[in-house]
Amino acid sequence: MYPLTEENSLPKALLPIANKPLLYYQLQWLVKAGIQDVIVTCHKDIAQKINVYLNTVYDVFNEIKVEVVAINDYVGTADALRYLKEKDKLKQMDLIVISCDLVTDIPPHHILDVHRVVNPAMTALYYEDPKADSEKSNKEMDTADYIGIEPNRSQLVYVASKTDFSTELPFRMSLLQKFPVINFYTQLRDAHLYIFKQWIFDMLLQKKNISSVRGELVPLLVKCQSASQDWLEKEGLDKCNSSTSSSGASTPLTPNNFNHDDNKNTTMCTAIICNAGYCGRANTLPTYSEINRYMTRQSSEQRIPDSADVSPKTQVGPDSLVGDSSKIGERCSIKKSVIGSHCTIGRNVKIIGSVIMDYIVIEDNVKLENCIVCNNGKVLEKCHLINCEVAANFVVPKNSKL
Amino acid sequence: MAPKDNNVQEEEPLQAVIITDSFNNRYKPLTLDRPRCLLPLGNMPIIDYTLEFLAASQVQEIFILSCYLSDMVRDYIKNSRWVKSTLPPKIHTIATQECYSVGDALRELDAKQLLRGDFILVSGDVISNVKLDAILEEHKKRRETDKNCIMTMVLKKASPTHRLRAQGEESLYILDSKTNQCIHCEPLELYPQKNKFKVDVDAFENHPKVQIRNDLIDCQIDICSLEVPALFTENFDYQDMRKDFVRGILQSDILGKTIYCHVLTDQYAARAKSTKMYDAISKDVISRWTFPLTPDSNIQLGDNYRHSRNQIYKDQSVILARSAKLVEKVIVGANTEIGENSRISNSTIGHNCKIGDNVVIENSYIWDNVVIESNCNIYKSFIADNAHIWENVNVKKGCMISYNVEVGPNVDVDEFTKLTLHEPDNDTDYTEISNYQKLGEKSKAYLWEDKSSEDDDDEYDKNEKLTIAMSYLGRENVVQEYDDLDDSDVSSSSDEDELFLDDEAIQQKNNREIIATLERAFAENHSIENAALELNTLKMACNIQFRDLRVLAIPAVLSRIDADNPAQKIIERWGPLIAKFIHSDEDQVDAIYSIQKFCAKSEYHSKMLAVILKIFYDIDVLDEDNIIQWYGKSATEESLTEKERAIRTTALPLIQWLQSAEEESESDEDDEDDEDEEESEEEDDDDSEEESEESDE
Repeated sequence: MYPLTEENSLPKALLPIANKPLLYYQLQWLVKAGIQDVIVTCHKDIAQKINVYLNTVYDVFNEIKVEVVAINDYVGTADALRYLKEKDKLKQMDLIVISCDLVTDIPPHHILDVHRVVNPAMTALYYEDPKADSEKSNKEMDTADYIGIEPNRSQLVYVASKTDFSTELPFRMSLLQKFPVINFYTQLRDAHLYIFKQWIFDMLLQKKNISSVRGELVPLLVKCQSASQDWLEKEGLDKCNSSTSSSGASTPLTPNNFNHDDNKNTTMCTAIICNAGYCGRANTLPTYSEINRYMTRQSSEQRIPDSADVSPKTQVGPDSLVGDSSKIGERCSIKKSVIGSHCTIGRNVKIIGSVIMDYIVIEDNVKLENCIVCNNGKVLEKCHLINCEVAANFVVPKNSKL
Repeated sequence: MAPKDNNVQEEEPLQAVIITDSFNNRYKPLTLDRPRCLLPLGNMPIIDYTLEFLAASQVQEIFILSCYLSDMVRDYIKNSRWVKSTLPPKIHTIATQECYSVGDALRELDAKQLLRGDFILVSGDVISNVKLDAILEEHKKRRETDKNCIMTMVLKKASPTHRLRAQGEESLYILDSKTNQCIHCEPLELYPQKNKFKVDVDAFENHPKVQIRNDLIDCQIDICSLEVPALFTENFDYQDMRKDFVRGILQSDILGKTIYCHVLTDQYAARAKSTKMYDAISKDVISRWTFPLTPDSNIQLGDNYRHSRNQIYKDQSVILARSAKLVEKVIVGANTEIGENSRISNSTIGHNCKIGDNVVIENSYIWDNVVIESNCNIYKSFIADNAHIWENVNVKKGCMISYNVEVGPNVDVDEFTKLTLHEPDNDTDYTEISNYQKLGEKSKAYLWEDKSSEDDDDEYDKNEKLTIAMSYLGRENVVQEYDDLDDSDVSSSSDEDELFLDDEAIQQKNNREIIATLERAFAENHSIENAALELNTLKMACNIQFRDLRVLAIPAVLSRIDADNPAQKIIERWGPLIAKFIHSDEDQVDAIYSIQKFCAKSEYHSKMLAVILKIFYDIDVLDEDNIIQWYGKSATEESLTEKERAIRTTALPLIQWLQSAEEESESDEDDEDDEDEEESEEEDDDDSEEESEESDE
């Protein structure tokens, strides 16, 4: 996400989507799901910023407890989970692991219900990339996965990253023996929303070499389903399974867990494909702008707040949003864009499909198309910027044409 | 030449092509006298099922292509009700000469220019109740959108362990979820066994959502466009429809043709590819899965079956003794008589058969005009027309008793025996004579043997052979064993990746398996042929060498020698089994090393080395040259232990005796030969021996 997340700017979690930080969306989703305890893990450098945000701005959800845990080193996702487990921050229950860049409007109960009913070791959410056909940029191809799902029980049985297999994809016969029909997708994206059973965290403690949830933990769990007993024993996974079913703590997430047929197929990975609602991850710049545009369109808030000062001769499209206390001069045209708070926009400015964050000054006769301008940025007179990202505190000189 | 029907104007008549030849030998010797499509299944020739199925699908014109015994097919069709009736379909029989594959047949068809539009291509052994109309419509619609679509394959859904799946012949398909376009087709062969397969990433490029399906049976019903025979003509190396054509089309970028699939879920379709499939299909016919093609539909003239409880179909004219019992799933044809106290279950009995008293028939297929005298037991076997089984004959599983053969009285017919009146090609009289003794005084039969020789190392042949071995009726047990193996094999190597490919563990598992098989053979006193067959099957499934078998089999046999069982007796009984795994002089020397090694380990056997070698020599398993060669070589063998060296000397008297016997005939050339052999053996042998053969001189 460079240069948006340069040090003097905002951490990824606080990048605005329709004038609300990304983190807001996950927290809101979790609140909807009825979750009461949330732990936000982050790097120690940004912990403070997130804390500040949570304490000052994010006061809407008083009913849930949000705790910020700072982690010293730069670590993988699974490492972070292990750290939490070691510090005994995690309660004895199933946990939702969610990435800070997920924006979705799928009703949370939809996923939770599936998890409760099927009671798998892991539930993962996938979504179909709507733009995959049209813009096949390299960045997107990198994140693409091959996903195999057994249709009857929507069991996740095959995961492979596109980057790992550039020419040929291997399939194991034992897998196909066990799952004769596999729906195989090439355009699904991992939403980075997982629900894990408690024992998986115990296993993480044992297996120090797993550092990434998506890259290592998920493939491991998927493999457990089709692997032989010998293999499980060797990996020490069989014990994990059995120990959990014996402990069988009933948890808020699985209130109806009677542990009846827990023993067979304990490591079952369920995949949910999001096809009803919207789901997207702001993990690359194109997706970030895309989500911004989408959420802006969907936003139910006032398009132009009272505190904003918008010249009457300016057009602000219905698919745009203007933040608090921003000033917009005459004869401007703003379409499909978000303008943050405390911005000053001159005259005759055209902004199309762009994200303008807070405290930004845009002078007269500027034209911005598909741009992202970060906090405190300045765009001077008569600039024409297309597909640009302006870092925080950067000043774009006069008459620049990019 | 087209049938001038009223609906000709609106669209072209629907044509179908039946290829009656199977181009393999699965049914032999039953097909020596009659082509496969005329064999009765449920007392009706198989081709009638195929024709009924096509007629029900509104096919107007049918071409029957036959090569093997084409006269019989032609005569049958000429005299059948199909030709007599004036209703469509109109049937043409075409005899093709020199056809060795489906490809040849289609090329012939293309040359004749008989087809005018999309046609249905089936083989002569398809049994199905599918209505093809809808599938045809689908195909036509597809042709409008995708001009390159040349074929629609009709596949039936069935789990991987379904009885209708022919192991080793099915494929795995990758289909586009939306369009059902076939993207990839991976054959699942028994040998070499695949633990994984690879698919080109490019194949998925335009197909965001596909299905990988391991649960489809290929029933070889294809809807083809005219391009298909043309493509066969263009690519004259295409032989098989699936192996060559479908894979060729899918993999070729140049042709740019597409193939689609239609997956059947609730209708019946199967091919009587092998005797095992024949068995499965017969049971399905009896269980009415193929409705309306069931015996009580009385499709054939003269049939008058009635369906009663427990799936019993009995013709009205059957004479059933009062105490005879039809247990379940039985078809009994017209004018058949069944004697007192006979029990019949899961079987089909043809027309005009005579079955005596106290006969037990289970899981068998008895065709027309068969006479089975009293007190016979018949289990999982085929008995073809006009065969005569005399009293007290016990036919064990997997037998095929061909036309006009007579067996008995008072004999046991071994498992998987095939009897025919055709004389074997290689005129070795002794099999014939021994057969007469084995098969009873009144017998009239020759043993029929598979011609495929044992030591084909070609992978394709191995697969083919294994597939055939699996496909015989009554082979269930072996298949089951294979299945277990399959699982364990796959799972132990399923941990591919970085984790571990534990060759040792696999080998140990294989060894255990082989030893268990040997123990069973000893305990149940199997015949050498059966034991060897089982071990060979294992050998292929485990992918090991003859040497590994020898190394395991020799100690297993020798360890049975003890005070009660003298060496003479044991080795004469089981030595021939070891001989089955010895194919060359090098093998012999290697075998002697194995014997030596075993004898060195056991106190009891250590003194017996010479004796054992002598007996092996007597039963022609070991040659004197090789024994002498071993003796010379092992003198300087560095890998041998003290003990092994010590017992080597005990063989000295034997060597001297052999040498004296040989001296007369020995010439200088032999020595040179020996040298050569040793050198080549050196390479084969895993033991890292130094240049020891020089010392032999």
